[in-house]
Amino acid sequence: MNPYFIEYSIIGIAGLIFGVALERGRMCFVLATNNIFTAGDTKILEGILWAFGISVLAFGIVESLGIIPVHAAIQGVFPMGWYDLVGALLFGFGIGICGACMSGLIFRAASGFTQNWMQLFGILAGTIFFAFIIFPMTNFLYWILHTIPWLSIKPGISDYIPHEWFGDAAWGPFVVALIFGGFFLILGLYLTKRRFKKISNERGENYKEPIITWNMLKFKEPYSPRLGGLLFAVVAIIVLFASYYTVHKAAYLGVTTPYGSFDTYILAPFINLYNVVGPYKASFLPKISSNWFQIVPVAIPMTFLVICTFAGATITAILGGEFKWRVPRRKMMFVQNFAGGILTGVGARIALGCNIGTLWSGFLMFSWAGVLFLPTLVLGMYLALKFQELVW
Amino acid sequence: MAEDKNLGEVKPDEKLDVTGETCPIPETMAHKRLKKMSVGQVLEVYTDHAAAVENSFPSMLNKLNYPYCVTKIAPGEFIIKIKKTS
Repeated sequence: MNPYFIEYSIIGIAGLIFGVALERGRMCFVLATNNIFTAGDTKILEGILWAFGISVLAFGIVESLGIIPVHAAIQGVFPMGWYDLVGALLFGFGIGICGACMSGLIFRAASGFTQNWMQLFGILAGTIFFAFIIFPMTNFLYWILHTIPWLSIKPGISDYIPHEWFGDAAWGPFVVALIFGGFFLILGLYLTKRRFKKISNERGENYKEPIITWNMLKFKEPYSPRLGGLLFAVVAIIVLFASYYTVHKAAYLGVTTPYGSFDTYILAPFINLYNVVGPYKASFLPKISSNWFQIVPVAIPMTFLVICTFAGATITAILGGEFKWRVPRRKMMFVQNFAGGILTGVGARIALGCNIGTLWSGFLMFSWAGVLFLPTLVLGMYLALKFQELVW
Repeated sequence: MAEDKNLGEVKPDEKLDVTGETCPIPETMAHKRLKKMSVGQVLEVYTDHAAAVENSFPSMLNKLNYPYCVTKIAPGEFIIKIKKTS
């Protein structure tokens, strides 16, 4: 059987599970940070920390045991650079004013929130703006390759932290996973314990939330974010194994590049994206691509994953009785979400990914990309929250 | 402050409709409206964003120490009554 067919089939199933986890677990990075900033509530963050902690530990074990060889694991490693800081700030502000990160957008759009569809259209428009204007006009590839030596793309394995710290030692990935993944998981467990204790004191009873119940499985109530986080980790592991054992390449989860693929499908009947030479083609760099679409493949398994994620989230929204087309009373929200979507799309392209592809997968790849993406992402979301408190 | 089911029957002094809007707008607008209201008054918020009802509103209202009552009026549609107590 064609290995690509098997890969896409398994990744499609992973996408469905991802959609279920998103919609039922309310897994949204903006929701998590807003709840912390406004009320010090960590419930959603705990789920995200579970997702990061469990998956990073699993990836470290898999790579240290040689189940996925390091040479295969590093094929998909995202390099880190200054563009992570800049892109994450724009991206964070964009998702902040839309109230939904790249994963939160999927579950809200799939539940019928029309303002999040507007955010999606904004992302598509922002990606086109980046591809045809920012990318060629700024010679983007040149700048990410040749500027700020300590914050620019290094070749191959150099961006792989286990190699950077421990050379070729087989236990390197496990130790790095223990440091990063262990930190996430312990922090998640601590925050859960602290939250339960606080609620117990307020109510005068021993408060606990189950991770899973029959009502959750029957879609009668939402999942605990920790169950959502666990499913997130399972999806990342399925994607890694499915791609390695079918087409012998390690694949990491990503959401924004697939949106670029959607743009390609929309534009392809009108423009030959791969032959057209943009008006801003840099003459002193003859080999540079003239638009962003020329540096990314169209048919990637993650595009299918995103489509199936939408499907999974829609199915559970319907089964949970929560699907409904929702139109905001204030039509200004369409404008706000479209503008936020443009910032989201441009920011994600500058940072080479989003809160899934660069942040989470950055940690899974053991690249510094995730670490660099995080602080300005949080800053961007915080500024967006303050902006909205001021405006609305 | 935990949920207070008795608030469900109380006639609201002010109403806020945030239909179709997602976090952080519903809780931000509710908070701003509550600031303008007098102590003892009740605000009724209509929202169809389940994630806000499950997470953002309870967190914010627990922090403010305001009693509240959530009523599911239809699948995915909620009314939250909040009493300003301080």
